[in-house]
Amino acid sequence: MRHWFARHQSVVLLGPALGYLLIFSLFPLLYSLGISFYEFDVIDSDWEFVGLDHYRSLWSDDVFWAAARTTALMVGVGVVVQSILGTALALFFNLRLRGAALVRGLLVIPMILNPVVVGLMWRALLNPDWGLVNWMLGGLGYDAPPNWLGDPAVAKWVLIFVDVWQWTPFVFIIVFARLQALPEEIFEAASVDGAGPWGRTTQITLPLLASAIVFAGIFRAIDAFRTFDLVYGLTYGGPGRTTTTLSFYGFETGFSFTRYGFSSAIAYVMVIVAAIASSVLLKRVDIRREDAR
Amino acid sequence: MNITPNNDFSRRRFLARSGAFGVGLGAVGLLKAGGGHRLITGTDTTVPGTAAGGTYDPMRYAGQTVSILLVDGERDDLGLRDKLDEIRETMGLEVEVSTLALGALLESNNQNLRADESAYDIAHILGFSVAGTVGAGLLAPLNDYVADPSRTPEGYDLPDFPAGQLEYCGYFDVEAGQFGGDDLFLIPGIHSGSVIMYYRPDLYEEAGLTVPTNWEDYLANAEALTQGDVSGTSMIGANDVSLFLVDWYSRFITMGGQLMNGTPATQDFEPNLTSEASVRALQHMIDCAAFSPSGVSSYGFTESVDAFSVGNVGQMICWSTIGGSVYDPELSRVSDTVDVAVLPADDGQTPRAVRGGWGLGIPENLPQERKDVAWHLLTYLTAQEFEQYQVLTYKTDPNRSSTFEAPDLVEALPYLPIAGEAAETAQILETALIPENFELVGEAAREFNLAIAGSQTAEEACANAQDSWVAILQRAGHLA
Amino acid sequence: MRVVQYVVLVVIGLFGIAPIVYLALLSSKRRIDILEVPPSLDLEWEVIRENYSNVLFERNFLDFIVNSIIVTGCSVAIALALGVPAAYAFSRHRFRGKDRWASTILSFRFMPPIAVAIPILLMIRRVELTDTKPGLIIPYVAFSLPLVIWIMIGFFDEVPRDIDAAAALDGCGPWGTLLRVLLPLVRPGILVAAIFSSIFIWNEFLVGLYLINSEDQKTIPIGAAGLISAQRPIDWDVAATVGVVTMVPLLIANVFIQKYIVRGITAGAVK
Repeated sequence: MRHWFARHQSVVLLGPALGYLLIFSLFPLLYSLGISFYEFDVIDSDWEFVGLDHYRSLWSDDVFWAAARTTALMVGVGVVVQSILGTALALFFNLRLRGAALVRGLLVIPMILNPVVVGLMWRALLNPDWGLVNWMLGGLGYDAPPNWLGDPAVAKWVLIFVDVWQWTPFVFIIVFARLQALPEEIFEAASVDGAGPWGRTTQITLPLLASAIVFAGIFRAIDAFRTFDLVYGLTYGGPGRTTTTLSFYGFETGFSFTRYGFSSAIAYVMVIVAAIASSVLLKRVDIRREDAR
Repeated sequence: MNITPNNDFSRRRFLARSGAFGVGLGAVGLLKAGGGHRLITGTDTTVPGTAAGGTYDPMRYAGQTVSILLVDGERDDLGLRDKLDEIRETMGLEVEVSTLALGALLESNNQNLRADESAYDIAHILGFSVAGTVGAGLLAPLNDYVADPSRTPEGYDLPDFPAGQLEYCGYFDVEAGQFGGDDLFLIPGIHSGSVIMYYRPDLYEEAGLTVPTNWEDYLANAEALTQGDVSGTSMIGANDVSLFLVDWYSRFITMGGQLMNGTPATQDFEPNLTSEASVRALQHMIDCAAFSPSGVSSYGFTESVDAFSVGNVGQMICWSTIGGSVYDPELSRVSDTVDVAVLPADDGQTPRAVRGGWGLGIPENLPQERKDVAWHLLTYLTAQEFEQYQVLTYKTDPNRSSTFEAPDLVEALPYLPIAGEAAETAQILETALIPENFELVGEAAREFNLAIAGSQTAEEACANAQDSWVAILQRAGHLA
Repeated sequence: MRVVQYVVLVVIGLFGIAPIVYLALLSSKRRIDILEVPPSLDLEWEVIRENYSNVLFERNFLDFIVNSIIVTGCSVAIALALGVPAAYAFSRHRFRGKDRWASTILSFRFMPPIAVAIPILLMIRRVELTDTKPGLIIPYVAFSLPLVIWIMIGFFDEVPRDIDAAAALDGCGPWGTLLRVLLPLVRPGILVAAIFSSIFIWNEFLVGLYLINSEDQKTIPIGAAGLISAQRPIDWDVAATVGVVTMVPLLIANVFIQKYIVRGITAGAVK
C-alpha cells in the first residue's frame, strides 16, 4: 500500500481535489449545458427539448446584448479605475504617514461588507429626498443633482462607482503588500542616480509593481464579469435594463421567471466567454509566480 | 422536515390515477372511512380516507407538528409567532414557522411542491403565482375539508371572504385554466389588498380642493398642491412591478381599458397595451410625474411611502397595505392628517384596482395524515379571531369582510372601510392566468419606467411593451 | 507638502469609513427619524437597544452570524485540506498534462456562479441536503478550491526545491516533507488563501438564497435578503442595524488579518 502511494504520489495529492471539482464543478457545468437545450414547463412540470432555440433567441435578444454591454462596461471601466486608484493608494500609503496604518485598516471594510447591505446603504445615501449625498451637494451649492438611481443614463455609472468603492481596497492590499516587499536598495540606487520622486515612481516602482497590479486586475475582472450581488441590492437591474448585468439577467430569467433552460443558456454563454478569457489570460500571465516576479 | 411513513400510493401517481378511478375511488374511500359525511364534488379530486364525522375537536391532532413557510418582510409571520403558545395550548400543535424573501419563496414553492414530498405542510401562495402552482395541480383540494363539520369549526364562515377574493385565492378550474369554479384549493390569507387613494385633507383644505372622482381632477389637484417642499402627488416610478400593478393598471382599467383579448387555452391571448386607454394611462402617469418629487423615477415602494409619511406629498394611490404605515404615529409624521378614498375613475366606470393577495393551501404531495393536520391549523390561521388579531397588531390587510367592518378595528385603523370597498371591487389581473405573468409585468414595468424617467414617450413605451408581450406570449404558446 | 499629504490621508479615511459611520448612526434611530436630513446626532440608548435586540434576537441575526461562522469555517477548512496537497503536487511533481490540469482547475475560478446555481440546487435537493449546513458547504468548497490552489501554487513555488531534497535526505517521505517541512514555510500563503476564500464565502448570496429555507439554518446574506420586500417599505433602521451587526465580526477579524494579509503576500514575494 505504501509503495503504491509512494509511486502514485500525484494521484493521492491531487485526487481528492480533482475528484471534488469533477463532481461539484464540472458535472454541474455539464448539467447546465444540458439544461440549456431544454425548457421547463411550469404547468406540466416537465422538460421539453428545444435544441439550440435558446441560443438562437439570445443572439437576437436586445436585453442580452444590453446586459453584455453593461457587463463589459463594468469590467472595462470598473477594473481600470480600481487598478489605478488601488495603485495610487498603495503608493500613497507607502509614504508611511503617521496614523496611516489605522486608515489602512478601515479601508478594508467596504470589501468585506455584505452586498445586500452595501446596496441598501447606497440606496439610502443616494435617496433623492433624505440621502446624505444630495444634502452635501446641496450644501456645496449644487442644487440639482442627477437622479442617481432613476436616470437611465446615470444609474450604471452609480453602479460602477459603488463597485469601485467596494473593491478598490482589494487592489490596494495586493499592490501595497508587493510594494512593501520591494527591496530598499533599488530606490536608494535610483536616488543616487539623480532620479526625482516622480521619475522613481514611474520608471522603477511601477514596472516592479506591474505583476501585482495585473494579478489584482485580473482577479477583479473575473469578479466584475460575474457581478450580481451588487445589482440585486442596489438597483435590481433598473432603471429599465440599464444596470442589468449578464449574471443578473441569468438570475432573473431562471429564478424569477422560472425559465431554467434559457437562464442556463445565458450562463453558458458567460462560461464560454470566461473560458476563452481564461485560456488567453492564463497563457500570457504566467500563473507560476517565479516568472511573474 | 416531517418524514412520515410512506403510504402505498405515492402522491404523484395518486393524482394521475384518481382521474381514472374517480367516483369509484371515492366510494372505496367512503367504505374505508366507515361512512363519514363527505361532499362529492363531481371532479376527480376526491380525498379518500377522511375520518368519520362528528364534532370539531380542537385537540384532535394534539402532539403533532405542523411546518409552514410564509413570505418574509411583510409581517405575515408575526401574528402567528405571537400565537405559538396559544396554538400549543388550545390545539396541542407544535408549529414551525419559516420565512423566505418573496423571490426565494416563489422558487422554494416551485421546487417544494414538485418534490416527492413537501417539506412544508402549509404553503403560502401568491395570487400572481396561482396559475403556476394551483394550476399545475400542486395543491390539494379543500372542498371536502370545508364541508366536514368535524374538521372545520362552526362559525368558520367561508362566505365571509369576498367572492372576488375567493375567486382569486380560492377556487380554480385546473382543467380550463381559469380562476373561479367549484374546486377550492386555497383559503385567502395571511393578507390581501387592493389599491386606494391616500391624501392630505389639511392640504386639500388649504388649496380649496375636493377629493377627485376622475383622473382629470386628480391631475389638477396634483398641480394645485405642488408648492414649496410639497409635491402634489407621488408614485412608484422605479422599474418595480408595483409601477405596473398600482399606478398603471388602476388608471388603465378605470379608463375603460381591457388588458387582454382571448384566452390562453384558445391561443389567442392578445395584449392591448397599445390601446388608447393604455397610452392615456401611461401619459397620465407621466403628467403626474411632473408634480411628483424629483426622484420619482427611482422611487420604489419604500421611497414613495416615505415621501408621503414625511409629509411631502399631497395625494397618491398605493396598496392598501401601507395604510398601517401612514396611519401609524411611530412611522409617519402625517398619521393624524391623512385620509383615504376610493380611486378616481372615468365616468361610468366603477372605481377599482388590481386584486392582490395571497392564499394558504396544502401541498398535494403530502401524505394524507399531514394534509389533515395542515387543514387543522389552516382553519385557525384563517379564522376571524386570528385575522383580527393579525390585522390589529401588525396592520396587514384583512381578507374577510367582517374584519374590514369590525368596529374596534375600524376605530384603530380608519382606512379599513375604504380598503374593504376596494377589496370588493378589485379586479383580477388577466395575465395572472399564465405562469409568464411575472415576466410580462416586469417587462411592462421596465418600459413604463423609462417613460417616467423621460427616456421615451408614452406611445413608444406602450409599443415596446406590446412587442415584448407578444413575443413572450407567442413563445409560451398562448398566442399563435 | 506634508500637510497636503495628511489632508489626503484624512479624506481617504473619511471616504472609506463615512458610509459605515452613517450606517451605525442610522441603526440608532427610529424608523421615522431616519427620514430626517441631515440625521441628528443625539443618540437615544433606548432606541439603540431596541433596534439591536430586535435584529439580534427577534430577527435571529445572532443565529445567522453563528451559522455563517460555521459554514465559512468548515468550507475553508475543507478547501484547504483538499487544495494544499493539490497545489503541492502541481508545484513539485511532473506528470503528463500537468499544465493542462492546472489551467483547467484555475479556469474554474472564472466560472460565474449562476452557471452552476441551478444544477447544484437540483443536486443538493436530490440528496436531500437542502436546508442543511453541509448542503451549503459542499458548493462553497467547490467555489473556493480553485482559488486556494491558485494561491498555494504560487507559494509553494517560492520554496526552493533544495528544501525538499534536504527533507528527503533526512528521511522524510513525501507526506512528511509536505506536512512537517513545507507547510510551516507556506503558512502565510495558507492564511492568505483562507482569508480570501472566507471573504467570498461569507458574503455568498445566490446559491444560499435558494438552498436554505428555515430560520435556523440561514447565514447572514440569506437573512439579510429578507430585508428587501416588494410589498412593504424597507425598514431602514433594521437594515442599518443588520449592516452594523454583520460588520462587527468582520471588523474584529480584520484587526487580526490585516497584518497577515500584508505579511502573507509579502512573504510570498520574498525569495
